[in-house]
Amino acid sequence: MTCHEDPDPAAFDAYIRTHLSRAADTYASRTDLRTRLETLIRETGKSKEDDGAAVAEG
Amino acid sequence: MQWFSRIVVLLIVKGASLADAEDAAQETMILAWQDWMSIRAPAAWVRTTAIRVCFKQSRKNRNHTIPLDEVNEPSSVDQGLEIFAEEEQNVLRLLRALPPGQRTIAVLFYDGMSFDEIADLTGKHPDTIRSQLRHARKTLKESMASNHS
Repeated sequence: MTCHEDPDPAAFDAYIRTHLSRAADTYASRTDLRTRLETLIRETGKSKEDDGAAVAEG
Repeated sequence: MQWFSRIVVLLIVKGASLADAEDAAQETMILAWQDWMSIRAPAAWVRTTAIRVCFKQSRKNRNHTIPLDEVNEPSSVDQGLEIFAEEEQNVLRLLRALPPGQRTIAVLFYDGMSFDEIADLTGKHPDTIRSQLRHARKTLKESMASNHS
């Protein structure tokens, strides 16, 4: 090992990963993701139906 | 829903505002849902697609394929970070302040990708990925030390 190498990068990596994971949990807990995704699925499904109708009409 | 949150955080680290990250994550989920049967490596696909969608949303005049290293959102927009706990905000800001090349490697690595997977995505040699991650760690530690002093 050279003097430039980190003696314990795994511990540092774990620290960063833990906080990113917590940030994702925090975001999920403070955002109404279920409603957002349900709306998204509904709108995407409607968009696909519209596309299908347009193709059928075309 | 876990994926949606992770993608939002990934894009924030990459430099997007919260609103832009949410829009890009949503667009990515639509694309994934539409193409799901043809996606062979969903985890990698979702990450790279989200980064590219986010970049395209902010630079709509660029319509060619964008290498991941060129996808460097400005880090000056901290809008929306207040929803995170203080220490989470600190880590997000430190990562956002990394130089673009290091940030790309760091965001993918800390989101769980291996050196080989990152090498495949970025077109770089795994040794280069390791080297850039070492530099990123050093930069992060120095920034953390200066913030605490």
